[in-house]
Amino acid sequence: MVAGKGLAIALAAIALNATAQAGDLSARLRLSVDNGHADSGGLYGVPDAVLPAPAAGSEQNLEIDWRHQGVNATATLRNRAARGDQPEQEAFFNELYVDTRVGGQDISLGRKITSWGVGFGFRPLDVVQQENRRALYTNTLRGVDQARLEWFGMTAAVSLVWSNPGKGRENAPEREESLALKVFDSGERGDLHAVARYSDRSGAQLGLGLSQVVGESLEWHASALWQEKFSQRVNRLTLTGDASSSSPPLSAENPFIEQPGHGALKALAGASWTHASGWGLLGEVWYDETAYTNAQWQALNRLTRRQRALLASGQAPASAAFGNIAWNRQAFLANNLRQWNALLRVSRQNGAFEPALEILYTPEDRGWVATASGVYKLDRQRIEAGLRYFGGDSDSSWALLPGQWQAFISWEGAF
Amino acid sequence: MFKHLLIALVFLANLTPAFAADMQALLKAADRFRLSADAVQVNTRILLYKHDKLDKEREYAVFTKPGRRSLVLFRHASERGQKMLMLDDKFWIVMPKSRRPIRVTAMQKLLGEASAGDIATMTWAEDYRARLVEETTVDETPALKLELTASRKGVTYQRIELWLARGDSRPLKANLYVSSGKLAKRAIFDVALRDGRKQVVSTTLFDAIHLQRKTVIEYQRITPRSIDDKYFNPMYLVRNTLDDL
Repeated sequence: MVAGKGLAIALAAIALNATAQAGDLSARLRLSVDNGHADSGGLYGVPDAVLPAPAAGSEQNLEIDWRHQGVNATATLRNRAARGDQPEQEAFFNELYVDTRVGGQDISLGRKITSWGVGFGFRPLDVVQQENRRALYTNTLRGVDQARLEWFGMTAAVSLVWSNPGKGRENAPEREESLALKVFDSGERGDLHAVARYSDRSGAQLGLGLSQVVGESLEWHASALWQEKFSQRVNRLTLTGDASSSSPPLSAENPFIEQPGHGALKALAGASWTHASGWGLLGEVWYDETAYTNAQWQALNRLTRRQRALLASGQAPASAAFGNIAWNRQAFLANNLRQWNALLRVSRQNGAFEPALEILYTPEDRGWVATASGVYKLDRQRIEAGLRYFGGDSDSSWALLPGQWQAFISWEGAF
Repeated sequence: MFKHLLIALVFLANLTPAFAADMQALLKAADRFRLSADAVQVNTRILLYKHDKLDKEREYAVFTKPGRRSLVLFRHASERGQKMLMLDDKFWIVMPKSRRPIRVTAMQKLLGEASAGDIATMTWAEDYRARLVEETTVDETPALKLELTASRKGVTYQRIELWLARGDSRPLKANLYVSSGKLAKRAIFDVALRDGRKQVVSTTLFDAIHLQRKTVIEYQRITPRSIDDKYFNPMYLVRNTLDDL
């Protein structure tokens, strides 16, 4: 709260400074309402009393940008109200950095959005920002604290990034300290991206990506990243307390632990094609070895069924069984629920209205996510809406997600 | 009979190298009405009309350098932070939310409410081979009708019919065709005296596919300016020192 007040004062100071001096000040106000279906009766469903279902909510975001002589500040003031809850306010800097030259060297210092690599649905080379690409709607990203050295040639560029200095190993991978190097070259054969990163959590990471345009309308891209180490959040009861165990499969505390793994590959290949009418088609396939395997999902599903069976037999208090089932839902927080994914997206970009329809398919369990969205652009305003529906075979991860759909509608004005 | 002979002579003359060189010289002369120097900054305002009613306004700063290099900074509040880079036949765009240069195709460059190709491409001589079609008049002004065929990949329009004033080669109007052969836009050039010389001060584009749309590109200020080569590196697009240009 104190930090929020401090930031509000800083924003006011920025606004006054920008008004008084040269500088580029702009703002965007976004008002949105969202809703989602909560399934309390499915395998992973729990009563509201145990874990309140996400209620219909509304959000107001005021985003302020100020730029002057290499200094950039982007801040968000957010108010979120969900039905039945007290409104929550949040204020933070998305970016606060300076781009400058010292001794003939381009450097950046501060919090900066750092998105790397190629791909739409997933970006294996996005090792610094680590953006979740599967969100239904994203506000402006929150950048990564860093010190960066850069070198630029005619077609090549090299960036050396020390991210989150002094933070060491943090819970969120994108917040941990790391040293990352990116080499880029836009030669005749296409854009080549090479990255290397070292962090305590992931060890060494090495990746390569390529994007190439063929003819007037077709672009294809591919990338792959190998990492020395990874960690998964797994339920320890799936490691020891499977169906053969005689003890009740319940835990008195959050049973999810970090399980280390060694050697993982992330890879993506895709292409986009655009017609003169504005219709475009994008197809991508990707593999993420850090996501749960089929066996891990089956073990978690079996465990959850056993926990649910305890309810019917009365062998355990309902609060304990439902509490454990609620903990199991943490498995759905991963960016990729399954290792293999395929995405097909049809969109139209021509005129004020831009519709899009996409299907994400997970062939291992035949699950799918369908998303329809559209943006209507006025002079300084945009209206955006989206609807996402989850389905697939009854045992597929997406069908088991405790909720069948999500939707949002938003209005944004720029000043 | 005489008319047919003249057309035949023009056709034959088009085949000779000397005449082709003259045609390119004509194009270069026409280009000078749009760009006064090889490296310039052009501040542009776009007015988008729908059914003859002003629908949207946009502002851009365009930097060009020899070697078919153009950098477009989007300056309007609703697009601020967006950038587009054109290097020869290669294109990248940076969207404000992701701050990541994305490689796009020539077709994607054409899309959007105001085509980036229309904003950033301001010369013909580097990109097209010209052929004289006929001598004619445009609104009683004696004119030469040229047919321009793309000599490079990645140009916004594959073929252009261009009418130049016979006296000083100033551009009068053009028909712009995409690679499918379809007429995409009709352009009318407004030439006026600015800074002591005749310049194209605005271009009006009539959309031939979406007939209700009209775009007016106003060249508010054209300043000779050569920015550093590194600004044309795709990875430099995410450095915000660009915004202070």
